[in-house]
This record gives sequence, C-alpha cells and structure tokens, in this order.
Amino acid sequence: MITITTCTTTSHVSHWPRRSLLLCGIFFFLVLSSIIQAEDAIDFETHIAPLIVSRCVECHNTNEASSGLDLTQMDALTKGGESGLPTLADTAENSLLYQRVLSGEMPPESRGQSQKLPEEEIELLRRWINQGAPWPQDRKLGRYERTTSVRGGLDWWSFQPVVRTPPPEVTATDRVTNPIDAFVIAKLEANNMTMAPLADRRTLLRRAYFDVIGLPPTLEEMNSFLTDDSENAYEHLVDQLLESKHYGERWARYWLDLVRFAETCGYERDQQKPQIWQYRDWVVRAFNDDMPFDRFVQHQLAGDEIPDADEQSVIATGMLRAGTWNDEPNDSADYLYTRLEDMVHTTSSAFLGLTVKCARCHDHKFDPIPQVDYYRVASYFWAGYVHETNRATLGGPSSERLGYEVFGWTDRAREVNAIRLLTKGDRHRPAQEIQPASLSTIPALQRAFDSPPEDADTTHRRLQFAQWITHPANPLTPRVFTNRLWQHHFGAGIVRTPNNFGFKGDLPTHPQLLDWLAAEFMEGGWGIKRLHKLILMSSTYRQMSLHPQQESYSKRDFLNHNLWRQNRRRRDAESLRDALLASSGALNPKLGGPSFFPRMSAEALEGLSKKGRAWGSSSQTDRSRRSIYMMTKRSRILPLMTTFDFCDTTLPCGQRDVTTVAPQALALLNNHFVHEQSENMANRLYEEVGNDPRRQIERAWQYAFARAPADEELEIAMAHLEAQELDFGGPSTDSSVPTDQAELDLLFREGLALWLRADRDVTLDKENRVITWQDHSEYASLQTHPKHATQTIASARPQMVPDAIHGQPAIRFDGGSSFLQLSGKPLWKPQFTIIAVAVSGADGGTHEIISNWHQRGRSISSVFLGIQGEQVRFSDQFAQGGKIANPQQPFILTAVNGTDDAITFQNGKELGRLGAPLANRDLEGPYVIGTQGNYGTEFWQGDIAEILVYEHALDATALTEVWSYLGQRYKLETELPQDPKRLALASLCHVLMNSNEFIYID
Amino acid sequence: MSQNRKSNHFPCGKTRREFVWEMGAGFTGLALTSLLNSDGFFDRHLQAAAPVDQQNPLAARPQHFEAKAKTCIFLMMNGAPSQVDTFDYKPELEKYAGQELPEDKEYINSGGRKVGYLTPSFRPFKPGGDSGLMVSDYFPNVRKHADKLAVINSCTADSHAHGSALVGMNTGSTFIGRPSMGSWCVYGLGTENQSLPGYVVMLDKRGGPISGQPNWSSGFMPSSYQGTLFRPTGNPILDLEGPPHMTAQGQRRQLDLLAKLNDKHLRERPGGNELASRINSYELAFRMQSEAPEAVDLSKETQQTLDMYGVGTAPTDEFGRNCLIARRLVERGVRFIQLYSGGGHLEETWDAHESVEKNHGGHGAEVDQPIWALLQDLETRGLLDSTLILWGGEFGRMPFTEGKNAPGRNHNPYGFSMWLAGAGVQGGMNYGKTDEFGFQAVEDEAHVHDIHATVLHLMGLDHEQLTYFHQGREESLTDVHGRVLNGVIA
Repeated sequence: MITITTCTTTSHVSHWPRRSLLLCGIFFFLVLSSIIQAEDAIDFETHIAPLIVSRCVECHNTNEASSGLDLTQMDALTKGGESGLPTLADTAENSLLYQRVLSGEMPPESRGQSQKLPEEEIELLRRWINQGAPWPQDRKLGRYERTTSVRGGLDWWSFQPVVRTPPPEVTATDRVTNPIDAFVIAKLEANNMTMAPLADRRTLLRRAYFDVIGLPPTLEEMNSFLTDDSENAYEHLVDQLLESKHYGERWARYWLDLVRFAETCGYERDQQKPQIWQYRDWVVRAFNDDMPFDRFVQHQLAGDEIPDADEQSVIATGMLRAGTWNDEPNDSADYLYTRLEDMVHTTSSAFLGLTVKCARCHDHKFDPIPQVDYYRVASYFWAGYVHETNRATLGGPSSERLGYEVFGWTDRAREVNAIRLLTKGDRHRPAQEIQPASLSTIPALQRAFDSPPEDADTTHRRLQFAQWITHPANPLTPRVFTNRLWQHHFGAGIVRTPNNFGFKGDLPTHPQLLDWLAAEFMEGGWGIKRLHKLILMSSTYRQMSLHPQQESYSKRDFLNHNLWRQNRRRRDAESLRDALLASSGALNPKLGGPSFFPRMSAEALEGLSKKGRAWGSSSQTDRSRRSIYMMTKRSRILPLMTTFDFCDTTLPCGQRDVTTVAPQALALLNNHFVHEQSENMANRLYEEVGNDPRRQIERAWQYAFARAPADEELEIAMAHLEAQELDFGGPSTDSSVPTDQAELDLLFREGLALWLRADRDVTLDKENRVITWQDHSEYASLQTHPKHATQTIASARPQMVPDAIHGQPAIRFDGGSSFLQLSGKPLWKPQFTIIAVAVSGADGGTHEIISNWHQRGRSISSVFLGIQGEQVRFSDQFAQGGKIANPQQPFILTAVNGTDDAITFQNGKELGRLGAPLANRDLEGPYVIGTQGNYGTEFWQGDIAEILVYEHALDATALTEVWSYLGQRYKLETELPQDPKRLALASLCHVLMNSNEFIYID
Repeated sequence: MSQNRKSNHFPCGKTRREFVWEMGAGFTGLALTSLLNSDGFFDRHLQAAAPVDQQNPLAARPQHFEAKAKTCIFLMMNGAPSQVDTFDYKPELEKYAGQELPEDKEYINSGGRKVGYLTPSFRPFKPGGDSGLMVSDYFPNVRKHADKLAVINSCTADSHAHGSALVGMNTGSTFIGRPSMGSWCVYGLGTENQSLPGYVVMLDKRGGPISGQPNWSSGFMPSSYQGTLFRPTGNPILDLEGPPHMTAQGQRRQLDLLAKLNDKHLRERPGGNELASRINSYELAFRMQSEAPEAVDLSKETQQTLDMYGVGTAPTDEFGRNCLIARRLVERGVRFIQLYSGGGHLEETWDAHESVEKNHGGHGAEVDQPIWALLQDLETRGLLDSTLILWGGEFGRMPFTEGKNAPGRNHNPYGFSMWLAGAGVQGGMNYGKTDEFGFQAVEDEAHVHDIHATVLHLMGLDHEQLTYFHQGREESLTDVHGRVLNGVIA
C-alpha cells in the first residue's frame, strides 16, 4: 500500500495546502485505494464523494442525467433512473449501481477501452452500500467540486489564491542572487543537481540584448560593458536595456502574437484596417512607459469606458478589432457568433490562460467552465458592433461613434438586447437569456455585473470584465502574465502551456516560484520592468546554457524542467531579420508609424488572387526598419518570416514553433534580403576599417558574434576572401529577365522628385504626338507639384513610339524641333541624381536629355545631362563626363551629384568621376526635356523612355535597385559596380549570417 | 512528478507544439525518441501515427492502417464548375426547361443575382467506358477514363461565397486559420523525398485563389507543414538561387566555410543536437537547389509525352505542364500536390456567371486533355495504384440560369459533384444523388468533411485519430464531423 498524506476536507471548496493540493488533485484515486484498511467505517466525504464525482457525475448530473439517473444527490440517487430499478439497496449485491460497476458496464468503455473501476473502489462502494449508504443531509455533489482523473475542478491549482511562500533554505547560498534562485536551487538540490556556472560576460551581453531589446549590441555598447569593471556593471546594462526604446518593440511583438494582430481583414478582399498600426504603437509605448499591467488590460478591453478615456485608450481597444473579419460570410447571423468566439477566445487566453472558447457548445470538457460562462463573456462583446456588416467601417463602430479617427471598439448603446445561451451552440436553439456576469471559475470572485452608470453610453460590461481580470484576488492574471515574461527570458515558461492553465495544460515546474513572482508582480503595482529586472538579475537567468554535467543531466532531465542551465534559443523571425539589419549597419531605428511593405518578389506575390495590385511599396530606408513595423497582410505574409515560424495570425499564439527545415537554410543562403545585408555589411566594414582584410574580419566577427575571431577562424576567413575574390573577378552581369513585366515595380522611391515613364500617363494628339507626359512620382509634398512635361505647340511635339525598346514604349525626339517643358522644377537640393533610359539616333553633335539652361545669367551654372558625340556631359563643369559606349543601343544613363563627387554611369558601369561635386548650380526652372534649356538648340535625337530625378545622391544599394528595375523593364544588361574584393567580403559576412552562432543565442 | 502523471494516465496528449519548443536542445532520431520515451513523453495516444521529430518534421511516417495511396493529387477547379453540365447527368432538366425551381426549394441567392429558368446541360452527356458512366462533352477525354472514376454527385459545402468556400474545401472550415488537407497529410505521413517540399501547390498563371495563402496554410501547426507554391518553369520555389555573381563554386566555398565554423561552434557545445540538425539542413538545402529545378525540367520528357499532355499547344499548355510536373513529383515522392485550374476572379476561373458554354468550354478545353493524360500516364507507369486523384471545385452551380434565357449559372453549395480516381478507389460509379433538378443532395450526402475523411482514409489515415492538440483541444481536419464514404472505396 502506498501512503500519501490523507486529504482532509469538509467543504467542497478546497483549502488544501498547495503541495498536497496538487497531489490530491491529480492522484486522488491512489489515495482512495490506499488509505482504507479492511473494516474501517466509510466516510462519505473522504471516500465516496470523490469517487462518485470522478467516476459518475460527468454523465449523471442534474443537467445531464444519462438514463435519467442523477448521482449528485441522495434523493435522486434513491429514486433511480429510467430503468425504474432501485439504484441502491439494502445490500450491495442487490444494488443496481453496484452490479453495474462490478460488471464493468459502468463507467462505460471509452474508445474501445474498458473503464472498469479498480477493485479497491468497487470494494469501497460495496462497503458503503452495506453500511447503509450514508449521505450527509442536503449534500449535493458538484460536478466541478474537485479535480478528478478526467477533468479539472474548482480546486484546480491555477484557480487557487496566489500564496507567497518564503524562499526556501538552500545549501548553495553563493548562487542565490535573489529569491528566484532560492526556489530554483531548492528544486535542483532536491534532485541532486546544481546550477550551471555563470555565463561569461560576452554571452550575457548577447543574451540580454537579444532578450530585452531583440537587437545585437553595437560596438560601443559592447566595449562599454566589457570594459566596465564596476561591481554593478551588469545591473547597469540591465537598467539601460530596460530603458531602451527598443525594449518596447521587442516585447510588444509577443503581445501582438497573443492578440492575433495583423493589419488586414483576411478573406477575399483582405482590406487593410486603417490606423490599426496605432494599436501596435500603443502596445510598444505601453511597454516602454512601463504601464502597469492592470491598466494595460483595462485600456485594451475597455479604453472607451474607463473614467479617463482618451484617444490613446480608445486606440488600445484596437486589440478587439485586430482579428480577421469576413465581409461575405455564408450566413451573417451565424457569423456573429464566430466573431464572438474570436473575442472570447482572444481575451480569455491572453489575459487568463483559459480556453473558455471550448464551452461554446457545451460545458467545458476539462475545466470548471460551464457553458453559461462562455455566454457571459460573450455578452461583453455582444453589446458591441459584432453585428455590424458594413464594409465601410470593416464591421466595427464608425470613427464618429468612437469620437476619434481611430480603429477601436465600443458598444452600440448603454443597453442592448440580451444574448441567449445557444443549446449545443446552435443559433436556432436559443435558450435562457444571459445576465452579464463574471466567470464562475473563481467562486470567491464571482459576481453579476452592475448596470452601467446613468450617463454612460456603453454597457460597462467590458470595464467590469477588465476589473474582474485585474482584481488582486484573481490568481490567474498575475500567474499567466509572469509566466509569459519568464517564458520569453528562458524559452520555456514555468507553465509550459502559456495559453492554457487548465487541466489540459502543463503543471508548473516551480509552483511556488510562480506564485512568488505573481505576488511580487502585484505588490510592485503591476510593474513589468521591475519583474524583468528581477529575472534578469537572478543567477538562474545568468547561468551558462551548457552544464559541466551536460550529458548525465540531459539523460535525467532532458527538457530542463529543473532549470539546471539556461536554454539555448534560436532567434525568432523578427529578431533574426533585425539582427541581419543591425549587423549590416542598415537598420533604420525609427520608432512607430505606418507599416512598411517589405520587398516581395513577383514569385512570392503569385498566391494572391489580385497579383500586382495588392502589395504596396516602401522606400529602402523604410524597408530597413525593424520587423515589428512590417505590414502583416493576412493573405500574404513575407515568406522569410513564415519560414522562420512567424505565427499564424488568425488565432492567439502564446508560443511560436521552433522548427529546423531546409527552406530556412535556402532563405538564408539565397534570399535577396540576406544578400543585400551581407553586402551592406561589407560596405560598412570597408568604410570603417578600410581595405585591410584582417581588420575587416575582426570587426565582422564583432558585429556577428560580439567577439574576436579565433586564430583558426581568422585563417579560414582570410582564405575564403582570397578564393572568393578570384572567383568574383570577372565583370558580372545581371541579365535576369522577369516572367511578368506588369509585376515589376520600382521600389526605391525615396526622394523621387520626377518620374516620367512612357508607358504611363501620356496624353497624345491625333497624330500620336505628346501633349502631356505626366509626372508619375506622386511626390506631392513639393510646392511645385505637379511637374508634368508638356508641349502646346503641335509642331514641336515629340512622337510616341509604342514598341521602341524591347517592347516598351518611348518618346521619340526628332533632333530638330521637338521638346517638352516641365511645369515645375524637379531639383531643390544640391545633391541629386538623374537617371534616364534613352537611345541616341544622332551621328555626333550635342544633344540634351534634360536641362535648365537659361541665357540670362545661367549659362554656366545651369544643370543639364546630355551627350556630345560619345562624351557624356553633366553640366558645363563636368563636360568630359565619360565615354558612352554604343549610344545607338538603348542605355541607362545615370548622373549622381553627391557631397564629394559627381559620377556618371552607363548601364550601371561607371563612366566618369569629376573628383568633386558640381559646385554652385543654379537649380531654378524652367526645365526642359530634349533640348538645351531655352537655347533653342542641342535637340535630342532619338528615344527617351524614362527619366527619374531624385533629390538626393543615391547610394550604391539604391542605384543597384533602380538599375535592376530599369534593366529588367527594358531588358537591358546592367553591369553593376561590383568590386570583387567587396563581394568576397560580402560572401564572408553572408556565411557569418548563416552560421549557428549567429542564429542561436547561448 | 512526471512519473506520477504517467502512471495516472493523464489524458492530455503532449502536443507537437509543446514538443517543439521544449526541445530547445533537441536530439535527433532514435536518441531523442528513446529519451522522451523514458521521460513518459509518448505514453499517451499519439496524434500522428508515429512520433514527429521537430528537427525533421517531414520525415516519412507510417500510415495508421494499410492503404494503397502514397500521394494525393487534388485537381482544384477554382471558381466552381457546374455539376449539371459536367458530371451530374440530369435528363429531367430537359423536361423542366424554362420553368422556375419550385418555391419550396430554399437557397441563398449568392450575390443577389438574377434568377432564371431551369436549364439542361449546355453540352450533351454521353456514357463512357464499360460502366457507361455519364460525362458531358465538356470532358470528352476524361470520359475515356470513366471506369476509373468514382463520381460523388451529392457533395455539399458550407458557403456560397468563393472566399470562404475555397478555404472550406481546403481546410474544412470556412473561416481562415485552420490547416489545409495537404498539411494534415504531411503532418500525418511526412514525405518521402526530403529534397523537395512534401506539399506542393501549383497555381493558375492568372492568379491565386481568393483568400490566398490561407488556402494552403498549416494554420496552428508549424509552418513546415504549409503548402509550398511551385512554379512550372525555372526555379520552382523561392530562394533557390543567389545573386548572379555567386557561382556554384563560390557557394560551395561558402558552405565549406560555414561547415567549419559550425563544427567548431558545435564542438564547444556538446549535446547541441538542434545545432547539428541545422548543419544538416544546409546540405539538404544545397540538394534542393538542384533537385527542385530538375523536377520541373521537362526537357528529358519525350515528345510523345509532351504531346499527350498538350504541352506546347494552346490551350492545354499551362495545365498540361502542371499535370506533367505533378506526375514527376509523384515519381519523386512528394506527398500532396494541388493543381489549380482557374485563378484570380470571375471568368478567369470556373465562375461561369456569364456563360457556362463560354466559361466551361474554355476552362474545360484547358484541363480535359491534361487530366486524361495524367490518369493515362500514371496508369502506364504503374503509379495510379499508389496515387489518389481528387477533382472538384469549392461548390457547384445552380440548375437554373442567372437571368431569364441567360447562359450563365450562379453558385450552389447544396449539391455538386466531385470525383475520385486511383489508389483504392472504386471506378465507374456514381455515389449519392441530387434531386431531379441537380440542385440539392438528397441521397448519401457527402459534405466537405466527408470528402476529407475519405481522402484521409484512402491515404491510410483515420480522420478521427489524426489530431493535433492546440489550445486545450484535439483538433482534426474534420472537427467532430466527417464520415468515410465507404461506397467509393474499392
């Protein structure tokens, strides 16, 4: 016989000590079978009530009395079921109940398996009946009164009050930095284990940066920490990181997963939700401002109902609208209930770690959540615009109703019709009206909701729900949230099913620690940063991820339930992409604002039913922002992100998958974004340390791994540079031709002040001559917008040629009289870039593409781009602008005026350098296309298909992008300026970005 | 604690999702399995037929029970073909022509379109094969395989709108966010060829299906189980090629350096099996770079084969190419292949609102010969015994026209036809019936869930056993529904 502490309880709500509670809750039937000696009197509460609750009442209760038999109360029990036979009798042998149990008929078999009771239990029943089946007066067994082997009861651990236990005494006191460690070490010592040694500073630095802000440290940050000898250097680091504005970006993302955030509705039209990004920014700011968690909850659930509601708190209710919305459901009356489920599920799993949604059609199968509770929670949202089907407001309240131009939530009115419980979840079987009330799962907190104040224009149900959630006596809220924090610092929670604290979830590995943290959390005024700091400062957190006893400990505790080491973690999709950007130096740290569209290849857009139109474009700078700012379109998420286990955006996600599959390797090896970053990193290394391979390698190691290379690494890296340089020696051509021209898009548009393209917006006269060539730049912020090119004189109009350059149209200038005049000036700033796609039909002579030459005082200071014979002329000052090859073939002519040089290119190949910028240009208009200003001569002879003018000097990356676009559009081979040394260095950087050390955090 | 729980038969199946992250430091293969077994990890019922190794989630796994089909090809007729014009022979419609559908027949008029008169098939039906199975002249070539087809005439779906019905046909739920049938198959069975995706989706050039990605999503399962879009030429999948300057030799050099760095890193971290897995994944990726393009390279196919599929000939070129590639993928051990006919919106799909003859005439001509060729070719090569084919759209169309004397038809989820062929399927038969108008399933209704249950069954998977624990619930493709249509099984 096993002996376990006997559970003594007199009331049906447990007040058991925690430790035995867990044991009793789950193993109680061992108890039953063990504590009774042969002829002891049977005690109803100790022996019979648990047996009947666990074995019988699931099917035989007052609501659901299978075969008419209710086993929860004596009256019903003696009355018997439909068979009419007495359930009990004077002796067990005559009792139907006993007979059925003895024969194994009851409980019925499940999934083909007999559920016959163990002999000890049958024996208990036999003796109980033989002793006269004593049943206390008026005692009614509750289905939820205790946890059984098949379901959780009201005594389930997570529903019990948070109990703050004093930290236990441990032997290894030297490892106790704060109480967290005492709890962890106590368990380790109980298992004859020790903590792993403290991680070294470099590892800690990298880990803390990854955890707290999701970015690698900069060189300066690295040096300042690694050279800080003070005792509290690490604490300083932790404080700094928690104060970083990037902290909110990192931790908001976890929250966005929980509230199934994305920026479109999903389904056929997949409409973009206007301003929903403000909700994302609100979450980032809430974390950065260390908003107390109770307020954090209240604002998101009821930001429109709180006493100090303002625009920001209404934005916070965007949480309720961040899910999917089907504007064309099969049956909108049914769909209403689907929307309710989404809201019930999102709020109950995010805040409470409960699966309330499981009680939509019936009482919860595993947790003490009756079906009525589901409808109580649903009633909070029922009062809102779940009924709304209007496409104009995307199924929610209008901004007039909200009072702000935001995307939030509110109720329809102060009073609304009651929601009814639906039998079996069937809309056609409405049952009783539901009174708004809290969940009944925590009886001490259960209450009916009050009517809203007289002057309210909402029901105040959500507000009361939020208050119930954040009630200091609600044990779920602080446990669930502290567990989330723990999880993201260790890769696994204390409860390893973060969204399910119910019976089907995992038990806490360290229940007392979880409660201690939860208590600290609340006592600290729900401050999140304080909790972070506690965790970050603990020795438990600062352990190495390797243990001296790694092998034997792995065998004993493979899943590291005891926390004998820190867990090694793979970067998630966001921190991987962000780390690539940060290491390359390209990261744009801008905070907040509308999301950017990442570059999505035409291939990746193929899955959309409306291919080309459905994706926006963002500037290079915007595309270098952190991943949290990336547009999440439900019908198309960037493949790079989903490949690295970005979560599904339709359901709350408490924990991402971490898979290892070949497409991840393919993405890191070949994806253009990764190559772009390795090239950026190479350029950065060149800029910072010059052409010194050893120093380049050393620094590359710092950026990628926050450490210096070992000798052997330095050696193989050097060898790699040499070999790759030889390999990349020859000029490389980019002749990739896209499959579908219509999908091509110019992605680099930052500072694009003029964009004339012959395939768009050209107005022709009857003879196909150009009257107006409209500016396509959409650059409306300049005062002089629009900057259309026009010609009012018919005889001076150039001709439209539909198939001029490899199938693309162009404007043909006759070399004698035709030109166009710009209605505004495209240049404002001293640095600029002019790019033109053209063909020259001239046999020598001087011809201009674009010019602002003016005879009155501007003959020398004017800006123009053209050719003289084979010589490119980029204004008078740079009249020897390099020799153009084969001007009779279509070419891309580029002229960049930067801060320290003026450079010209043909098809991406450098033609000439001035050695200094063009100085003192007069940028005033008027500008003309196809002649030399108002000089009336030097007319262009040939075709001009496209002209782009940027009001800044494009860098190599931007130029490459524009050339690549033009090259593909006009099927021109572009020779991109590729220095084999740089490419070799980029190749090395690329390898580092693919390495395990980059991807995993120790 | 875990020992105790084990002995207590705790009913909570440990989930793959939990599995995944708990394995922060994973082990591979047997070592892992045995460690976890010793940890009481697998003592509860297993959702997939065998343990899923998160370091190699696509490793082939045994079926729940012996079944012939190893691969499934789902020929998705996006936009919804009309049953009474294709596979649901309704001579009675001749009699009712010009009348309205009786008033007691209730339906949702999708899009509030015009309602016209009952109209018989726009092309005649003829018997095919020994079985005499009736197939219309929109599919004269498919008809030659009549003896191989189990036509299910009693299909029903849950939505009359394309967006949700497509998602419904693919995932079982009309709401986005659930794993698609292909995902369930690769979750249950893994895939035979690790150098190719296990679940391939080939779209119509005109565009993707409405609702996009959720149609081949893995929902709450890991993204490794999602469908991979496959293009019929060049590089079929994303990220197979780096920038132009990166030669094969240059990349090999990169991989060699990477291997050295990773080896050193791993040596310093004994037991880091997830690190070892990632190292392996690079070699696999390297192989994919050559094997994926090879799978769509039709240059080694004979002219006869190309001609059979209609490759190089309008209008069959595109779908013919896709069908031929599907056969090549079957040969290479891909588990689930979905081909879309029709893409984008309206008439670019089978959505014949304007004219059945024009629409189905056009789309039918694109796919009829290629589907015939696919069945023929698979049979000749002995692959049809292990390949299951499913044909159909997201719903059907009304037996009456859209507007009086108009030639188009509106949406109808109340009764439509799909067919199965190949491994384990009883050929030359009709299963279930619609009413005399071809409007509504009246006998042996085959709901989308039933179709799914049947496909899984034919693949050797029990739709009730194939579950994935998510958010407190054992989720499955068919939810609490679905019955295997035993009548179509050989």
